[in-house]
Amino acid sequence: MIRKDLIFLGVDLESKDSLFEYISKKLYEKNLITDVNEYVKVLKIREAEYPTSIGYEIAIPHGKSDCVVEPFIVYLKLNNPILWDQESNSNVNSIFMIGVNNDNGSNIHLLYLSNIARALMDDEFREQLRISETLEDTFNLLNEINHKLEEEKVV
Amino acid sequence: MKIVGVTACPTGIAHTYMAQAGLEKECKKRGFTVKIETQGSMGSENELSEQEIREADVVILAVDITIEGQDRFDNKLVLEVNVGKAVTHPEQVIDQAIKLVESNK
Repeated sequence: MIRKDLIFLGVDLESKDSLFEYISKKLYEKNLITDVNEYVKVLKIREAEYPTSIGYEIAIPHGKSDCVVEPFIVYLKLNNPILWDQESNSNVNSIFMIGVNNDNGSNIHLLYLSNIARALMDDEFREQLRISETLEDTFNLLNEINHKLEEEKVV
Repeated sequence: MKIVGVTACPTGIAHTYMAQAGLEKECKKRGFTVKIETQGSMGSENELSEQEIREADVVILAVDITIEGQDRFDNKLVLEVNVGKAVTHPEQVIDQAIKLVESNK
């Protein structure tokens, strides 16, 4: 479910807004969303409800919208952390951005997303993610979750 | 200590499952029996049975939306928290649950 071309490492960005713009444009180029502004708006509405930073310098902004063509997950690692939430003063340098649409036709994607979410609560997984510096290592680590799903024969 | 709970967030794709993992991990660390139902984008999973609810010392509802079957917990000790808190501070949520149980002994 994780795609190599949706992993971005060593990116320089200065704010949450510019991050949302940056990723949304990439998603649009890859035909995963049909409307950059609409998707950014959905992300911001979600953040306003409750910031998606989860500690450990990780955030998981997500949006549910009909402008999402098919569910996706983006992983992006920044060179320098950005301030995510003023209130809790939390900084973020690793971002998992998730998109789903209102038609849950394929639960396989959703299952993958829920497994990523669960994995993020695991200390060892986060540490491995932190020390993965190459695209290859990062992809392999995130892809392991796909393999686990296959082993459980749910795919 | 036996703990059951339900997690649910507005979009049901991330916090629901992270809160579940956080609460499970914290309970296991303390040697508690735990089962957490998720009400997310894939519907209700890991559903609590009547027996599990009956035997539980306390119910944790880490929810930001109205959940299905809230009436199952009508006669139980219930701790309600924000789903985000169960993700970032599961240890505090479990501490609160223990306090609730002790103050009702």
